[in-house]
Amino acid sequence: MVQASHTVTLEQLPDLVAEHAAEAGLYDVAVFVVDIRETVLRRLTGKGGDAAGGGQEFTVRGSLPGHAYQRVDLLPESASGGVPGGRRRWWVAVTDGVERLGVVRADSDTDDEPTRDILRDLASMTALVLLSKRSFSDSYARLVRTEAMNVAAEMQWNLTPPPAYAGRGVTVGAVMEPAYQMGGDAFDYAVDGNTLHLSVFDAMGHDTTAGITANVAVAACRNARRQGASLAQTSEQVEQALLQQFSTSRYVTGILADLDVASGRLTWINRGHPLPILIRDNRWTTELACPPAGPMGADLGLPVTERTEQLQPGDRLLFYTDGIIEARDARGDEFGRDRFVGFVRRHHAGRHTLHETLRRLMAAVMDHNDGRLADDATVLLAEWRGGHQDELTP
Amino acid sequence: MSTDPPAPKKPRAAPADVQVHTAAPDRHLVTVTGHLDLHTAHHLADALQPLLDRGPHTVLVDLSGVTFLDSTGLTCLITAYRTARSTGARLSLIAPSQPVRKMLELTGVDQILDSYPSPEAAPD
Repeated sequence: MVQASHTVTLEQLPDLVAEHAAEAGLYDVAVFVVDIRETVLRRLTGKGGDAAGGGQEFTVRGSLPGHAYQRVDLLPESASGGVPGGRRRWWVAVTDGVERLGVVRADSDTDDEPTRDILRDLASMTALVLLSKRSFSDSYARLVRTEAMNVAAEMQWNLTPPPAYAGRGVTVGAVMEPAYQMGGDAFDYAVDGNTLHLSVFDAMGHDTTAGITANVAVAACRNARRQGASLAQTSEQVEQALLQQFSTSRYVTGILADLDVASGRLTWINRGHPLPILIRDNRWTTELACPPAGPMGADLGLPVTERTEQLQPGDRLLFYTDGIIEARDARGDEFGRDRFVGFVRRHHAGRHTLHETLRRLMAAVMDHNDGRLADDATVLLAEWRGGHQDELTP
Repeated sequence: MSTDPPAPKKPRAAPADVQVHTAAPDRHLVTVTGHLDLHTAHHLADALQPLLDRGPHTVLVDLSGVTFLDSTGLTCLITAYRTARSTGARLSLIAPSQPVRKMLELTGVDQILDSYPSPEAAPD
């Protein structure tokens, strides 16, 4: 299937998957893809501008396919589901092992462990093929959108790495809102041997220029990092790039951090941004203090201080922008830092995966604000497991 | 970073008001009330520029009545600081309100802009 997929377009993918699934004894196969806000699963039919023409939809909240998606699981429909031929109908989450892309539906004659293995294999294969097509498919971009997007959001979704990563004893997830009307928020992470780089940025303003500013900042950060610059040097090079482009009229706040995934040693700097939060044992939380060196691009000339902290296995790190805690409801009440941290602690305490926790957090923030945020809100959550890589789950 | 005040925009909850009072020939008190943001920061910039251009004068900016400060408002204060450094003017903040203090401390701007509890407490 992987070989056959090389020259297939996204629109041809459902037929390709169904064809190969039939050879393995799976019938009536359908691929469903989740939208960027993770609220709805839309069937990839290959028809129409969004490749979803005439297809069914399920909500992530409150449907069986949605349940399989949330739990990253394989779930059967009840036997009385009325599937032709007395077959069993299955829903299985489509994931590359970390990022959740949607679900696959398939019917089988058998209900044994080998069948379940084939279903999981089918879902993995579907994920890889979907991932190989999405970066150059406008149909995919339309498929995963439920609203029109502004130019800044179009830039930001291309700027950031995939919203989920796991490997070398670390899991990383990120969410950004408003998904369709973004301003200057961005996050970044990158693996460099034993080092996991983590950063979050907030460019001033809420216009297209804010998006451009964030793009310059992230590109300058990556450029410096890839040339071996330290965190302090990296932030200074970001500052220089911003000054060249915008004089002192636009600035970007941010936290830049490096985590040594072998030792658990975290190093970070603060460029005028809300401090990261450390959650330990799911019991106590603390802000990772670091004197602010002023926003990048404001040219305040303040010294950049690097701080370090030794993490313990199981520690979680929250990086965020102010929009997440300052989201206000109709009465003007802020979502607030305590509610934000409390939500992560409650939902990520064994009940949900890291990425499902973030999906639920952003849904709660959006609900709090009646579905409309006045400011960008971004959360990057990283969990360091130390020597417990085997327990990694997406 | 927000450029919109948290309160509903219509009607404007607290349009910024900028008053200039010259206490002595070389000592000026600029009082700002309301939201200091994308929509209003230019009023403060317009008021400060001619005062800072006069050279070694003392310019005090009373921010006790500022209900909201966004990144544009903060940029206006940073720009004023930079102008003051180049012209030799002495720029100080007077009694910044809680939302202003929070923003100054978060970004580190409090390290470059001095604040005093009252105009009388500010040096000449």
